[in-house]
Amino acid sequence: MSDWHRVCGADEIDEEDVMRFDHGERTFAVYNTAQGFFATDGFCTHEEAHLADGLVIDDMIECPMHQGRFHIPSGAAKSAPVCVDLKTYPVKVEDGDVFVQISEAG
Amino acid sequence: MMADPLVILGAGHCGGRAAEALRRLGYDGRLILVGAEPDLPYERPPLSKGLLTGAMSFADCRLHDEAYYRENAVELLTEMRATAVDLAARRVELESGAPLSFGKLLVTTGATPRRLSLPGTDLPGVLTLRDRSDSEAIGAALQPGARIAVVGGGFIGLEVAASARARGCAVVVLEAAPQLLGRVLPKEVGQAIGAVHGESGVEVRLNAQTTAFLGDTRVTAVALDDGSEIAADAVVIGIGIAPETALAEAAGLAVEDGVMTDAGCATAAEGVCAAGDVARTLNPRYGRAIRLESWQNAEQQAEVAAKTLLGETVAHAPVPWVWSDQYDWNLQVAGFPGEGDSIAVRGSLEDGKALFFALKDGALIGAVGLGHGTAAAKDLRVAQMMIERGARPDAAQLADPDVSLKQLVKAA
Repeated sequence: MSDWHRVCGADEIDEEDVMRFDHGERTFAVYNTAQGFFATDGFCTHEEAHLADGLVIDDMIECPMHQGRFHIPSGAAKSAPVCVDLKTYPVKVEDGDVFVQISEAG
Repeated sequence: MMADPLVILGAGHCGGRAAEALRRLGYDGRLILVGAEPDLPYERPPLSKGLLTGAMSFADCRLHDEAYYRENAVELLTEMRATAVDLAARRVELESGAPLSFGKLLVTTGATPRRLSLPGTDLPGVLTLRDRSDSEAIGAALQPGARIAVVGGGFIGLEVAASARARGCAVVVLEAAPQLLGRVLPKEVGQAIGAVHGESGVEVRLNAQTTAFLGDTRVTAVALDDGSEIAADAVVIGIGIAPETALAEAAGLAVEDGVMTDAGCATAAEGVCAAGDVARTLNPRYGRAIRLESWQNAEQQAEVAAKTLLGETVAHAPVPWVWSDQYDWNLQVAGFPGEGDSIAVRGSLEDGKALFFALKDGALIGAVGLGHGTAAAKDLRVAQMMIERGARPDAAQLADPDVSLKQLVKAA
C-alpha cells in the first residue's frame, strides 16, 4: 500500500536544487528541476552519501562524495563510479505543497 | 590472423577501469591485464580509512568480482611482475612465463611510497601505505592504546591518524614543514585540519624533523632533530609517492617524474599510452604537464587512454579534484588552491562547513571545502564549475554565506 506524504512547500526547494526528506527509517531526496519535481532514494547507490548534499545540474544529480551522476527523472546511473540505478518515487504538487508517494512495503 | 593483444601493464584502479572502458567502448580484441599484486583490481581510498577502521571490507574495494573479467574476456594475470618492456619487439618480459606480445600498450604501473633514508627505516614496525597488504599491516598495529607515530602531515598521514584515533590509539603526527598539507594547500586549510585533529586528541607537531627510527628488534621510538624522542609501537610514514617509471624509462619512454604523455594519455611511442598515478599528462587548460595522484585521475585517465588506444582523438583538460575523509569531516579540493595569491573564506568549522577560495590575479584557481559529512560538497562542486569557466568572482561575495554560489556561477 502506498501513501502520499507531504515533503515541504513547493517554494522551499530552490529551482535546480534538492532537499532531504526522511520518512520512518527511510530517507529520500526530493528535487526541483526545470522539468518539475521528482523524488529518489536519498542515498547514493555507490557508497553511503546523501544526495541532498549533491549538486543538481539540469536534470542530473551529482553525488557529493565521488561526483557520480544520476538522471533525476528516471534514477538512471549515468557516470562512473555509479552503476546501480536509483529508485524513483511519484511526486505531486498540490496547493503549493510537494508530496511524495511511498510504498510502505519498501 | 589475429591482431596482437592490447596489454595493460598494472592492474590497479586505473588499469582495471581502463580494461572496463575498452570493453564498454567496443574493443573486441584480446585484452590482457597484468599486475604485480595478488588481488583483483581495487580502489585505494579505503586503504587509509574504512579498511583501517573496519567500516569496510576488502571485498567492498574491488572494482569487480572475478566473474566480470571472465565474462568480459579480460585476461587477468595477477602476481605477475613485468621485468622489461621492449618497444621495438612489442613485447613485455615477465618474471615468470613467456613474454607477452602486444599491439598496443597501456602503462598503469602506479606509484610506490617514498621512504626516508634514515637510520632504522627498515626496522619492523616502520610502515608505509600503498596496497592491501600495507593496509592490513597498519590495521594490525592499530590496537586500542597503541602509540602510533605518523611521519608526514599530508592526506595519507592525516587519514591514518584519524583512523588510528577511531581505533583508540594514541597518535602523534610529525610534520617537517611549518604547516599540515603544505605541499598542496594554503596554510588556512592546514590550520583548520590541524584544529580538527587537535580536538580529536591527536598531538600534531609541526617543524618536527625526523632524524632516526629507534629500536633493537622493532621500532620503539622516533628521534627528532631537537633531541626529543617520541615513543611509538608503530610508525607510519606518509611523505608522498614516487611514480613507478623504471620499466618505462628503461624502455626508452620520456620520463620526468612520471611517464610523459599528451592530453590524450599517449606517449611519443606509437600505440603506447600511460595513465593514472604514473603519468605526467599535458593538461591544455594549464598549458603544462601535470602528474596527479587521485581517484578522479585514475577514473578519468582510464577512460581517456582507452579512447586514445581505440583511435579517438581526446584532449582531456580537467580541473583536478580530490577528497579526503578524516573523522566525520570530508575535505574536498578543486584546482590548485596552493597557487593563489589571496584567499577568501566562507563559513567556519563551528558552522559545520568552511570553504576556502584561492584567487590568482582575480581569477578563481582553486577551492577547498571542509565540512561535516558532505556538507561542503555542493558549494565546492559549484566552485569547481567556476574554476572550469575561468570565473573572476568578487572575493567579498565569495566570503559572504548569504550570496548563493550558484548565482555567482550564472553571473560569470
